[in-house]
Amino acid sequence: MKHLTRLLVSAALLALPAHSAAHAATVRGADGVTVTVPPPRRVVALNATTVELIYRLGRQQTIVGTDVTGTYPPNRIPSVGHWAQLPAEGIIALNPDLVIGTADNFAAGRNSGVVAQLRAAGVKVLVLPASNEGGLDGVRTRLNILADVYGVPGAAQALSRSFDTTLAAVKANRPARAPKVIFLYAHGPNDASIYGTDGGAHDLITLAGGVNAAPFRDTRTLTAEALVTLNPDAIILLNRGLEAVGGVSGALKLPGVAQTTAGRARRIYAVDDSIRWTGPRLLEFALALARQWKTDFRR
Amino acid sequence: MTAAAPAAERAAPGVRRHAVTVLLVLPAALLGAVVLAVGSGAVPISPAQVLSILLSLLGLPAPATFDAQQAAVLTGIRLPRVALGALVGAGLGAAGAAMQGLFRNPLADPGLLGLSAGAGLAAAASVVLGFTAFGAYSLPAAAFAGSLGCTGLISVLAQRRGRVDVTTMLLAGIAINALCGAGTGLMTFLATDEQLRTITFWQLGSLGGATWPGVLSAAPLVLAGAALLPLTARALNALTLGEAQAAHLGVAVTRTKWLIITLVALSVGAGVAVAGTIGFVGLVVPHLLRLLTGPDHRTLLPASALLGATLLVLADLMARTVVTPAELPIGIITALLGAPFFLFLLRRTGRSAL
Repeated sequence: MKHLTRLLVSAALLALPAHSAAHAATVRGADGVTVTVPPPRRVVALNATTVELIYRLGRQQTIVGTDVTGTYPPNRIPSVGHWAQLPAEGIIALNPDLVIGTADNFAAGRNSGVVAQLRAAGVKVLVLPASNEGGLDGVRTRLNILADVYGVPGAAQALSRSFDTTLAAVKANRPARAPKVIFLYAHGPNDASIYGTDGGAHDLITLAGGVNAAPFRDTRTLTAEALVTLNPDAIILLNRGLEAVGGVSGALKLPGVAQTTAGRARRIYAVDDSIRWTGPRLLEFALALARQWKTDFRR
Repeated sequence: MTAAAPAAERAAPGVRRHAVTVLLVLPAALLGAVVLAVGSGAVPISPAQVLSILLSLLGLPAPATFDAQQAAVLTGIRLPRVALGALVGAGLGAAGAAMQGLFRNPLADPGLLGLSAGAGLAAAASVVLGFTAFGAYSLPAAAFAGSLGCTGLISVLAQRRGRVDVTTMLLAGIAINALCGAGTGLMTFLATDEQLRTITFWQLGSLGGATWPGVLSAAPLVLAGAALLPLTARALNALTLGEAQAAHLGVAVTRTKWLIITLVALSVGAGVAVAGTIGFVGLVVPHLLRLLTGPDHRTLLPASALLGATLLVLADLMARTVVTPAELPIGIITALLGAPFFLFLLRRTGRSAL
């Protein structure tokens, strides 16, 4: 027995370095730049969904920095600031062996210049596909790229299978009649926008068995008449937004809301603030919403 | 010109000596600020390593060891940033002093010529309408064109029979600024969330986008302003007596006004284009120096350029070190420091200092 243990330990010792030396993933980023890395030990993970996906892969201990959005799961990872204005030297100071961000965030403001500065200073930067488009398929794509980087394909497959299970549950729980839905992005009692037919809000509505009633892309400022004309059966707000307007009774006072079918029936729903970036919890949010709608829209 | 020399040029010997001291101290202060700023930042690089990296750039033997990344951070990120801060600050300082002299108004700053508002509108429009003709330089190029266009428009509106009427220019500036503000408002209304954030951060100002090509593209214009504006000092001194008196003293008043407007527009416009709108430097720096050196523009203009450069280098040092690894927008720092200081000057000295 002792002999066997020693054998196993030495085998493991032999296998470990051999494994990590053999595994240097070559990954092509969304910007066409190929990054070759051994499994990273110090990662600056920019964008909420990048942080979340790395947690799901069980590699959260490698994250040494994130941006203001990387707050879930709750953590004490240092933030390099707002995602729309990334600091090159601040990121380098965290001494990362890999910086991982998403194409949408790296396209904001001067960030493309920051990516160039990081690369010029010898820091490897992996650009994942955009986090605000592609829905569930986009999440799977980013998940698989990250699994390649960390050399943990098994973890990604397991998560992907759990997506399939949840997706089946979402489909089984969709309401019998698809409600017409508007997603409001509210900051306060007099300030709200409608989310258009692109991005995470739209994916959420569609997955949960609703129809997005917004007839445009991007976001538009809410006007009372526009909302009454669209006459949604259901209105979704972010948790933060519902809080900011003062709960359901406050939401009913937003311009035009009370005059819609949704307002008259008090069909106001709240989802997690992170829906703006499509991450691994999209299906959980969709399942919760589908269940509520299944009860509320029987006929 | 001796008998009729304006009061400013016949300053008391005490103030004159002050002026000499200030002009000797300020370059040293700027040098000190630059050394401090080059040696500090999120990535630790010791003074010996800074020296070694600079020496090795010149092909000389390095006394201390450093790694390639430190060298890349110093030469590719920090040095262009400090250089840009010094440039933009010098442009803002000199332009502020020249504008206050030209308008004979202590509240005048380059913003009155529509430089910031025009740049802001053009920058917002380029973001929202997707102007990408110059790649990474599209936004700076648009901002520069916007400042020049706006300043040109105001200058033309202020013309009366071939001469620039300063009061009309002030009023036209206010109107055009309001118009640009409305245009920027329209652009933010049309913008998506991402575009809105880009516009907001640009308006707060930052030297974070500094690259050598960016610095080199702005340098000739900003330096032209900071170096050539002092040549108008005598004319500005004469103008303090009034335009008619200045003309009698042999100053080509109209030509001087056009020269100053052009130099201010070029130097500040180029600075705003690469760094966004940075307030209060152009307003506060000349005031502070007038307290120390008196109102003689021959001292005031070069001193304002030097002090503006020093202050902006230090403000940027704060912006990038107080919340590491994150960074504050520099416009917040200059306003946070500049506005209370301005109030302090106001309370301490009353209107006489203005």
